[in-house]
Amino acid sequence: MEPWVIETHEIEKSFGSQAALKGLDLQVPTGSIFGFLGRNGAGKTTTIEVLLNIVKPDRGTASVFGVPVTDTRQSVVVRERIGFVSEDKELYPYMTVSQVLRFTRPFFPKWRADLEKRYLDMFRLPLNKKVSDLSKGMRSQLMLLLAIARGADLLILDEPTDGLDPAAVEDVLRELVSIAAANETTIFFSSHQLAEVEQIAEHVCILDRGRAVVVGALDDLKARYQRIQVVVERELESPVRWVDGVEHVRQEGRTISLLVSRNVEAILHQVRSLPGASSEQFSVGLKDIFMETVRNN
Amino acid sequence: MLWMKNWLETRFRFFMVFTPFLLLIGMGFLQVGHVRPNTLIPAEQRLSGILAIFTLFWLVPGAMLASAGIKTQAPLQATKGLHGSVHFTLSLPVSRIRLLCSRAGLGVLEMAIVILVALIGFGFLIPLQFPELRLPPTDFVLYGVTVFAFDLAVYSLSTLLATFMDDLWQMWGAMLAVGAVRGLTALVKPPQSMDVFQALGANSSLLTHSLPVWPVVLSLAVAACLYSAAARNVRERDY
Amino acid sequence: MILRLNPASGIPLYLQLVEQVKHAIETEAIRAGDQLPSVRKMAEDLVINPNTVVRAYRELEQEGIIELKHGAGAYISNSVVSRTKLMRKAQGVVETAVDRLESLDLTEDEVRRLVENELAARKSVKPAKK
Repeated sequence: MEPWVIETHEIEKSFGSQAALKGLDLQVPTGSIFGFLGRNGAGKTTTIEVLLNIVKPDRGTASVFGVPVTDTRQSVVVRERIGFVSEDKELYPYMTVSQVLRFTRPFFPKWRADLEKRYLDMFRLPLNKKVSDLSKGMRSQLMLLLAIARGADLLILDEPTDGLDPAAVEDVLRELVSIAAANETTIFFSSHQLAEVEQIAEHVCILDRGRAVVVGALDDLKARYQRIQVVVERELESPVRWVDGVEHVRQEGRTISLLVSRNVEAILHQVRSLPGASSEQFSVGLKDIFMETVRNN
Repeated sequence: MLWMKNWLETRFRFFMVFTPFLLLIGMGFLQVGHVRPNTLIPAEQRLSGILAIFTLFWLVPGAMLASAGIKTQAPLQATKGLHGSVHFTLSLPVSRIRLLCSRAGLGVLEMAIVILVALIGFGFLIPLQFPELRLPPTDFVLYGVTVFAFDLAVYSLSTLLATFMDDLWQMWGAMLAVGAVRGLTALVKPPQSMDVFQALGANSSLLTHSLPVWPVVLSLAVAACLYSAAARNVRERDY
Repeated sequence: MILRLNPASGIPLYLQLVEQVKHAIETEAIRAGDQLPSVRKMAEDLVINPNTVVRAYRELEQEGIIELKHGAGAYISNSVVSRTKLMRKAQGVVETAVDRLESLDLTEDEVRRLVENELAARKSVKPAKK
């Protein structure tokens, strides 16, 4: 089994004059739960579209299961192993739930009838209702059912909990965790909900304006990123040229707040060189890392 | 289960195209014998006049029943292709070409059924309306072949347009384009033996009692070219 | 054993889990010889990544708090009892220290911050543990 189920190298993609991806490098370890974060318009959905060969990149390479995404012939076989939930959760509005199931099943030889039944019951999806009559939340759940019941090795989920109430969200997260625990299924999901990602993801990538600005194992990131809060005696006339490792600086009067990703020793040394400086160190959660690497960059 | 999806998407459209043809033929049967034909104009000329007008109707099945099979078509209205479900369709383990061909297969079948039924109606109606003409059944078969070849070309054009336009534009676009070509042939006047519109009207098999070989071959060639252009479009473009 | 983790905290989830298990042992919610839930069940109950559970269990095993019996699950070590006694002793140290700090008229928040800063300062001075 290859170490990376998804691998991209310097992917660039523009739609007309709008550059959606400006050189994206991504490596998703096989069997992991990988959270893909970013603001609206950062390029998350475009990345997924590239991976599924819905959209062709202008430059760069991408591969899934070791197969280049642009290999048309092999990509059909690759897609048999991928379960996908799209951002807009749109299916065929004129079909009923049971028709959608009847349509989708034959494409996947590894279809799991037991999982189909499990999720029909769990989500209480009405078999005879047309897709157009379903709420967005139920459409999300139906798409999840379709993605999971096909027995995929890789789940690519674009905002999978969109439209779901908190209890339903927890159900979905629990199912994803259960799937990850049961077999070698890789779960690659993009989300706005930092809390969800923090809860179940092992690895994360924060995308900002078409580039990956933070990548790594979540535990690692939490250990590496620190906030250093400095109070100086007098307000500084000129801004400090900080050494490498300072990701973000916020200054208010005599207080300076630093978000630091590495090189803590050297930074603390620099802090102590400031006149009358006292400092405190805090660990940071994903929200802080996200807010300060993505805004005001 | 692509056929199921394609059928659900096209069935209303199919009946919408089918019914007018049935109605027309039905009306034809109703008025035959009641309306006295104008015997001053020779029968051949009257028939070729009717056929020329009917050419406009023949292009409708080709234009309306076509689609690229990638974007979802709403079964009732001609709306814009529903964008989101495209991603679902394209994420399935099916090649885009197979999506295109499976949809084309059903569309062409539906088109063929419309033509066949209309032609059978013709086969009874025209001899009734023009008892003085000698119209062996083989002529109708040859005429049907001509119509089918022509409609295949229209179908392919409509399919090609569907690969980059929305539903409504695609249908009208196809019909307008064919109308424009028709206008062009009226102006430029290509040789009679090659003009497909003549082959459907004044020069049709019902009058010449032979197959208009060049128009049929030309139509099929155009159909093949346009279809492969559609296939290439579908394969290359971003959705 | 009811555990509550805070994913939003800056402390990695696996460490929180380790702490919570240790706390459960101290409060005798779980005793020496008891079996911990399987990785899968723990992950599903807490709705966290299974590898987080694996990492926590491995950490607990390294510290001698649990034993991983091959294929049979995770069990609280019998040697854990002495840890509990040690914790009780440490509890006394903390009680005295906090009493003294409070007699200096420090608030609860100030006390907490002092302790956290001291721990953090030590962490940055010590070479990073793998």
